[in-house]
Amino acid sequence: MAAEKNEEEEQIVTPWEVAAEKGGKIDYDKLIDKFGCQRLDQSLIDRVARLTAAPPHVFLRRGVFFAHRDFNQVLDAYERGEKFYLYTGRGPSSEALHLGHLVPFMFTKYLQDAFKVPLVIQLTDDEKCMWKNLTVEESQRLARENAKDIIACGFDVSRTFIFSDFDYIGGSFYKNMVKIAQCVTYNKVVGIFGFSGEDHIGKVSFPPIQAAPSFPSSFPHLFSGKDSLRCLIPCAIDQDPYFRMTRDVAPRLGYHKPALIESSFFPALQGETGKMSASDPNSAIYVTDSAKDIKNKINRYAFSGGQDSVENHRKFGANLEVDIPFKYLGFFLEDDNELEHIRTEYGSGRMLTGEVKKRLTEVLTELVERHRRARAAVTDEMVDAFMAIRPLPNMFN
Amino acid sequence: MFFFFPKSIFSLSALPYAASLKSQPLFLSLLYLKICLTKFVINTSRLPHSKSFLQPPHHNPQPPAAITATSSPRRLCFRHRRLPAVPSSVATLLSFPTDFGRIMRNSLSEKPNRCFIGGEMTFTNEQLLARLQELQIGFSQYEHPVVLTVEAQAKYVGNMKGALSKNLFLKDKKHRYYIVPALAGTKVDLKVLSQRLGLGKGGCVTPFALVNETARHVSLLLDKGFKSKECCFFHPLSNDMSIALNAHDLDKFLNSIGKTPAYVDLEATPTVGNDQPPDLASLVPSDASVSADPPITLESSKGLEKNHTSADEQPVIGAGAKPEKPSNASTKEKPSGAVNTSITYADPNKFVDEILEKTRAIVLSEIKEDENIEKYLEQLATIVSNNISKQLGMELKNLAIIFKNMSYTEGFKAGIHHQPKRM
Repeated sequence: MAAEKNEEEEQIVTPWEVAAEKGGKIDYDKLIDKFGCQRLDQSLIDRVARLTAAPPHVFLRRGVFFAHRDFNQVLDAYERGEKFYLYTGRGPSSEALHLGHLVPFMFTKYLQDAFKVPLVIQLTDDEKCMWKNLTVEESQRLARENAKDIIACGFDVSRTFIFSDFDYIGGSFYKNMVKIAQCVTYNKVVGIFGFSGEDHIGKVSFPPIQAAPSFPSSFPHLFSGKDSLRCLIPCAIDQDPYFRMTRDVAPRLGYHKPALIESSFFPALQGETGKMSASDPNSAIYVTDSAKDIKNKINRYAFSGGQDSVENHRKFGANLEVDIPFKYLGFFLEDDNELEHIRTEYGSGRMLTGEVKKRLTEVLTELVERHRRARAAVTDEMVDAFMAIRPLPNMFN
Repeated sequence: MFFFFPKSIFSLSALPYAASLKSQPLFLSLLYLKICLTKFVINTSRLPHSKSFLQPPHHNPQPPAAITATSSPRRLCFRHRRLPAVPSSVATLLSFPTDFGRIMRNSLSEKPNRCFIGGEMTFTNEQLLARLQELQIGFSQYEHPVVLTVEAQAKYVGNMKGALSKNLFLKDKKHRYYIVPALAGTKVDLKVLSQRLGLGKGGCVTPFALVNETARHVSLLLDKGFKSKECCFFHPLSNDMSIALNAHDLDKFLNSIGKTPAYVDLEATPTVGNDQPPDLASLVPSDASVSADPPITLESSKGLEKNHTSADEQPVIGAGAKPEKPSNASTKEKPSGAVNTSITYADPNKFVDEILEKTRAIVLSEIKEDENIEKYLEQLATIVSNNISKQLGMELKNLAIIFKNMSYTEGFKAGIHHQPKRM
């Protein structure tokens, strides 16, 4: 799939690289076909709204989370009264989180609150240590720092277990890792992830680590005796390969296949050429940015779909396909009506880019401000509490 | 003619604002009152000292009758742009958040009907114009869309000859009212003016408001600049119209309703001190009855915005014009202030204070939204409370989750350091 011969012109989507076709944007339909997952259609969204008795999250309404695997089965089970648990994770490669990183966490928080289910969050400090050549101590420190930002997204401590690989792996978790590893041949893993003969064996043996949390027996302090508990994994679509492999393995180990709900990529400020990059500070809005920074970044770096002159803009309207401020509003502006209004006005040229950017600045500033305040309230003790191996007695209430 | 005046400002103030002038004409007078009130004249740059009114008393050098700078809840504040009046119900919200829904619903359920507010009637625009004609007062009339500020009025009539007027409505601590029409260009220093009168701060309106019975205790202080102009623009009783007339004719009208116009040089700044008593003290209404307190108390929210007063509703009976001061723009800035430390979240009292603070900020900013008011006239209560629950709901849930996590953490820490019972 990823990076094979005869596919130079195709888009590349792997857990480590995302690139669109030459000069274009990511074609999500092609991706869905290639990966073999399903579109999240309106009927599913309505079903979610019905089951949770609450309006569906912005990301669902706007098609940010657009693909799934077996989500309908999870909903069927939920209707019958069978609960599930959520599993998501982060590779703590840097201290600075940007808005794109927050997207899956914001959605996961919504799922946790809406369905009232527990959540496990894996911090793959070992992966980053191996891939980014960080020291073990540094990656552990980054994991804790990232945990604070994750907690600031608003997860409920009585329903959430955060763990870092370096601290948690062992016991039942390791047993599952071995069982998974036994089911995947070397050739297969090379085929899925594109490893070469030059890659060290740490990388090759990493995939079972990301697969293991999909099985409830990996968490005996939480789910002991509940081997039939289903798992739902909200993630970005580039993580799909890991879970394709996991889904392949699950029936052989006697577990349900984990369900997935996948999001599109959060575009960089400069345009839709790929993912945001942590190395370029102006490609993204960071959660540590001040209101002034946000305003500057949006005004200066956000790629605009407006025309080059006011006259042309009034005549032709803006190109909403490539306009970044409008896309960002699609992610973060709660009010559907307002977004529609902006869509028609900006698209027809009556509204100017400046206004859209101004509105975006307001929305993002509020978001970042709220996050910052929540982050400031997170102490080291709180991180310890979230990461403690403890039972969660009310996790399904 | 026989006129009633509104007894209950509660409902008056709860009426929807500016826009519906086009609807029931008789309704207009009530609306005009609000509208006129919102015609803020003062360019803050012209009133360098206005802020001093908002300072605690000791800033004001001359405290006759302790009416100068006041920290009373009924402070008013000037804005340099238009602001809709805030219903007194909002003030109530501020002090009694839990009653908000009920109050809003009550206030708006009284649909005005032929401008019977609480059973009273006031002058309409048409009636005023008819009166002017009866008195053979010559004026020229110009209709235009609703305007709420001098600048807006200037857009429509500014190119015609005639000086624009601005109106200050002042109220002092003893609930006495003063309408001070001035030329738009006159610099009026409120501090000085209040000293000259021997008292306090203000609002805005039109001199024609005095036609209402309710205004009988209002003093009128006209800018002497009006006399020198050939004609001046005022609003009659509605702000979608301006009429131009000569100052002399204005006097005729005022005399006809039993008011003596007093022309004052508003720009003069005589020193007022022990030797020189306030020169305008004679204009202070002497028999003004203190307006009865409305059923809704207004407490300015304490410590909400540090430098401005919050919504200050005077359920005015006196002037038929309400000295309503909407909260100012700074309510939009969330008073996030210092970074919230974990202590805030661990402390239930601070937690609840934070909730109330956010409630106030959102309520005030919602009420200030002109678009809401104009578009959803009849459903103001529902729309506002929906928006408030939505926004506020989000904020409060975020706060609550932080609080819960904090509490759990404290318990957890205590748990891991727990010493087993010594046997």
